[in-house]
Amino acid sequence: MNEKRNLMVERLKEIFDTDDITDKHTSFYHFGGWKQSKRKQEFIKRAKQIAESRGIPIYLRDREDIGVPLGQRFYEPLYISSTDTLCERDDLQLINNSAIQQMGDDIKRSVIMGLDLAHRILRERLGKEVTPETINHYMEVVNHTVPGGVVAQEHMAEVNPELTKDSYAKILTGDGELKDSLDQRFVIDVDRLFPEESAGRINDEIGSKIFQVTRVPTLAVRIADGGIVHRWASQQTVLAFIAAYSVGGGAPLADFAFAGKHAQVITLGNTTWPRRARAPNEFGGIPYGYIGDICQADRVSDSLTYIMESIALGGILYDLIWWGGYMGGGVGPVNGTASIYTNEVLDEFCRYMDEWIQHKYGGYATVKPDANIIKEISQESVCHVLDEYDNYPVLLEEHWGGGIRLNVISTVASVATGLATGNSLASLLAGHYVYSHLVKEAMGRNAWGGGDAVDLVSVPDLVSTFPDGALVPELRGPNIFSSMVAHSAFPIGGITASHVARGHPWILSPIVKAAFSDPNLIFDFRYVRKEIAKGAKREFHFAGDRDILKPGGSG
Amino acid sequence: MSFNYPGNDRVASRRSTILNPKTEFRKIREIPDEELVLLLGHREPGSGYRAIHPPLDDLKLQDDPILKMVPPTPGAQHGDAIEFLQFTDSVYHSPLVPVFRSRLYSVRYRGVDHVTYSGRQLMEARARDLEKHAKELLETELFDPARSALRGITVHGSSMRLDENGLMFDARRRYVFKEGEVWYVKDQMAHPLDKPVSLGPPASEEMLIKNSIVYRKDTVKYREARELLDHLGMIFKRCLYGGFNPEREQE
Repeated sequence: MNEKRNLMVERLKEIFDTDDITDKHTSFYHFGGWKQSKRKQEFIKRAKQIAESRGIPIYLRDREDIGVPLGQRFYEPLYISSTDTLCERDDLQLINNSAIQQMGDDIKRSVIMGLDLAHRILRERLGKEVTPETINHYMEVVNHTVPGGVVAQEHMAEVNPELTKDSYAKILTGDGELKDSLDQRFVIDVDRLFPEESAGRINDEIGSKIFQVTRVPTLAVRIADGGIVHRWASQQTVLAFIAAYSVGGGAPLADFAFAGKHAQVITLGNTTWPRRARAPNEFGGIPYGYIGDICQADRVSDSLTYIMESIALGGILYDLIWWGGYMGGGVGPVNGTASIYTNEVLDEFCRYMDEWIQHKYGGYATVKPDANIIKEISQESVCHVLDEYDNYPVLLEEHWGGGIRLNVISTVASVATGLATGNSLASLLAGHYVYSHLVKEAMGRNAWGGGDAVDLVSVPDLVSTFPDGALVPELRGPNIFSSMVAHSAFPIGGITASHVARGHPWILSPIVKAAFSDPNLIFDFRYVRKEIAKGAKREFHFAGDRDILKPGGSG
Repeated sequence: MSFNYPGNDRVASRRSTILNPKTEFRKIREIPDEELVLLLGHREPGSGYRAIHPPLDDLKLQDDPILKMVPPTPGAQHGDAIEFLQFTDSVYHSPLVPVFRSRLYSVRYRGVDHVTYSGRQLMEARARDLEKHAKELLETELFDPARSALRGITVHGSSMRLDENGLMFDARRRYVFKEGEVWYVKDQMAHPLDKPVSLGPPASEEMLIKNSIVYRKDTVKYREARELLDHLGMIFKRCLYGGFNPEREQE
């Protein structure tokens, strides 16, 4: 293969401040400890002020008698892949990065409701006309009610719109004629937002159906869980129907509520299983296939970049927020997740495998997904990445834990298998094979205790016909027993790659794909990593701010 | 019982040796019992073992066929408390590495529980059993003071580059390199020791590589471990076909 610019190598040289990244020797213990970190200096200064004002200590990093003495080795910063943003590890912590939070919030606060049943109730049961004009009027009303405006009863409390200005509802339809006749402020215009061919296929699939995409306020999902979302949306939607179409009586209201809460509602996440019980629209219940649909990078970039952006999105959503936050609790797995979207590492490895596939098989989705092919691609992925860890000891140092490395290597194998075969099941098998056997027998070390247990059972489970084991890969997610932390990147990468290989304009749902192309979302899902970089630099404008409620606040 | 690890290369051969429970590992250092107790940090030298129940001989036990089939270990017989021992192993050719520690413990030691991580390996056992196993693990060729380390807490370091003397990084600085030897100045929980304990000189790089059980560019390239890769592929295929159609796979 041609000698090309290796951005990963350039990044490693820069972050470790050395020209020779092949040397396995260095020096330790003389870098000034935690004082190497500007962030930690800032934290300590602030902690002292807080401790003084509240009378209870907080964050004692400068105390030598508490825990590990940080900074005994060189404290390297991180580049966020595809950007020029250099940041500290602390900047990628969930609580410290507002873009990561908003990414989750924008997904969690979204719900999609079919309007066709409600329109049928209006027409057939109540004898009302439904025309583009009435829909436009309804959309005005619903954009009053969803953010917290009252329409039916007097003397009800209303919400300060400054607090819910990120909340609104829009229309989505594949019917071009209807779309053109609607008030464009309320339309998610697939034709304008997607490349022509993708737009045509998405419109064809949605057809004449009409969907309302509702974003409840960020503050709503900060005071409650994802279970509030479809209920909030439905209640305010029912009220909007009542007001917009002058409807009275209990039975029609019940019908609207049934339509909005149950019959034609698309929540992004299902309720999770009892041991991990959470409401609908929490991240653990979101199927893997939706991640590539929520990610919008395919509208603006090449295939590999789209796959990388999807992996970053899903890896953060599932590993950092769901597993690290909801399930594990605490400060969580920043490093494992960061490994898939920092320092161009995953990008470089996947580029290598992309070329290898082109050379070996002649293109995407060109080879039959049998066991030998999965084995062949997995082996090449593992051997190449392990060679690179051998060649660059700083890379091994950067990926200092087995879970971090496995997250990367399994994803490379899964993406490569997906691209070569166009088969999502094969891509998942490759990821589990890497996790369960291939790396372990090379290095004599794997991930953490029991970390590969899910992989050992997942190979037979994936192809099993037992309903509790097997599931279409796109419909799987972390809400199954054979999933755990640092196991999210490879299914997302593999599934997304499989559909990219086949030229599909969406992964699981054209409706979800179109719903997240909405330019009014706070988080820009076209540029996942750039948005996270903004969060790291504290340049991201997030929603859910309550500053107007502070003493002296105005709004 | 012998065990043949797949392949004929030197890594595979060394793995077979490691996993053979009859292998007598070469003793290369002597650690007095008192110093071993200091390093482990579970009790004061000369003090008795912490007990969690009376000796089994003093107890009236229910009739249990398992008791007849599995004789208790000395630690269990005496009612010792369960203590722990943890090693961190450098990727740069520690003589043992976590997965193979686990396999070695499983075929060699009775009455131990262990957890395998990527850089470290935790063993839990009755105190006197644990000390017996620790002695073998620390005094023989299974331990190199530069690339293997006792770490009960803050285990990070297995994948770090090495220091100027070839020692593995330790944020707690439990050991120092002095006059050609590695001296522990803290126990495995990083509590300072009153008296440093020497674990001797590190092995040469050549010796470490020669005895390495890791497939790497400076031992045997993983790509060249064809028999092993075929064997793993066979396991993968059987799991795959077995999941798809168990009855047919059994045929």
